[in-house]
Amino acid sequence: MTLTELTAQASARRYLSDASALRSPNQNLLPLTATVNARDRW
Amino acid sequence: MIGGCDLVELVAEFGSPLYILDEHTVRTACRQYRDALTRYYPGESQPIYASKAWNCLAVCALVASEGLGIDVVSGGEFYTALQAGVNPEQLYLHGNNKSSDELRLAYDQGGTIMVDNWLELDLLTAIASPDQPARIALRLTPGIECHTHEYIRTGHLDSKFGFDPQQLPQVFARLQQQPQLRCVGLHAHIGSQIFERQPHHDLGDVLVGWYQQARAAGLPITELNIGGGLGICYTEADDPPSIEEWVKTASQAIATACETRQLPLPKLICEPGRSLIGTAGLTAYTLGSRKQVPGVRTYVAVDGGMSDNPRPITYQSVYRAAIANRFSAPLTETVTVAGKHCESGDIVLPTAELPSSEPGDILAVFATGAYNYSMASNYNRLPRPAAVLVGGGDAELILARETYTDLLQYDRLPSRLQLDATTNR
Repeated sequence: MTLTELTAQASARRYLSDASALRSPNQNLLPLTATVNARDRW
Repeated sequence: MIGGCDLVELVAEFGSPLYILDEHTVRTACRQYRDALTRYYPGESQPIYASKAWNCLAVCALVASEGLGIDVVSGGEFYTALQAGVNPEQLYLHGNNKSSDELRLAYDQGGTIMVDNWLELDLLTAIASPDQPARIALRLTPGIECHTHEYIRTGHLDSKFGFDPQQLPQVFARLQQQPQLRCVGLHAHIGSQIFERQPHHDLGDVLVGWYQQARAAGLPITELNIGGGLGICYTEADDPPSIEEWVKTASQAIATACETRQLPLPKLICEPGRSLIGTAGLTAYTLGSRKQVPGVRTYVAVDGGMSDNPRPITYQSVYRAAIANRFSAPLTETVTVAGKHCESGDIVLPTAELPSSEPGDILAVFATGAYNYSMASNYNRLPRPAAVLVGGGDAELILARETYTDLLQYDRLPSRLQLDATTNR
């Protein structure tokens, strides 16, 4: 798989994996309440 | 979605660009500071919000409702906190060049004044009376280096802030002669966006050393203020300690140093700003024009820039972003996100991995809760964006969008310069 193809598999959802109420707010990129809208069908 | 609100719908309702602040994240950070101080510091303690990060009525009221005091650095910030309903006894006025008017405002209202230099001692001596002494604390320069941008380092000896600690005997002697001034605390702040814990451990020891000197000089010091400085994640490469870890380090440093020197525990105060509100905020922009420079880069422009976020052009700050209406789409291109200002350096993100996008898409830039609105300007006569507080699926306007009429409210046109619109004379 090429780098381009690997990159294409990633999406901004990766930023959500870090968002957790168990962590300190300053250690997240996004607010603690960040979620993906169910209508985001991409 | 943030706070149960759809970012795209927020922009549709409140316009673009739009600052979005998540109430739950701010409240969680406040509680983590408060709870960690209670857990790790055996004496009295209080976190105080460094409101220069984002000072407006709603933010002051929100943070104060969590039991935090408010640190302000100007008469304007002091006045805003007062108008928000904050108890003036919970206000702490900072600044390296406070005016007489600012000092008088804080004194009249009963706030604590963090005295930074000899001139302020002179001015306050003239303003305050022995019957109602001014409640003050001394800001000192601790001579502690830390790794952060030079513009936000404040603890090194070559800093514009605070007294030189070598002058402490003279300062203490002066305070002994001034019944108008009641010095209750000592303060030091070493900088912002710091990921190391050692500097704050070292600062605790330095502060307690000064505390010991002050007590030996007969000053009734009851508060030590360790400032703020805890960093946040702007990118996935940033790795700051948690609020709890940072508070634990500072608390143990003060408590241990006091125990070693057999001193009573003072009230411990800390002043978080960025770490309390930074990642609670985002900015939503609307994408506009695109320019491809073959073999070099592709520029994608947004409808804001250095006027709503001057940090990239000031500190070369780096952010992460996503297309809000294509959040799960594959990342297929690397672009440079440019602002709309007449300035080549007006770049919001030098490098952003994004899905394919088109004009009208909504770009969300993360971690803009600190030093964005508070440092915003009207450069190029752009009205400042609106801001909304989100939570539980509701969005409330906390800052109205400026209008062109607002931009002209302080303009005055002398009659001799008034033009005839048809002749331009």
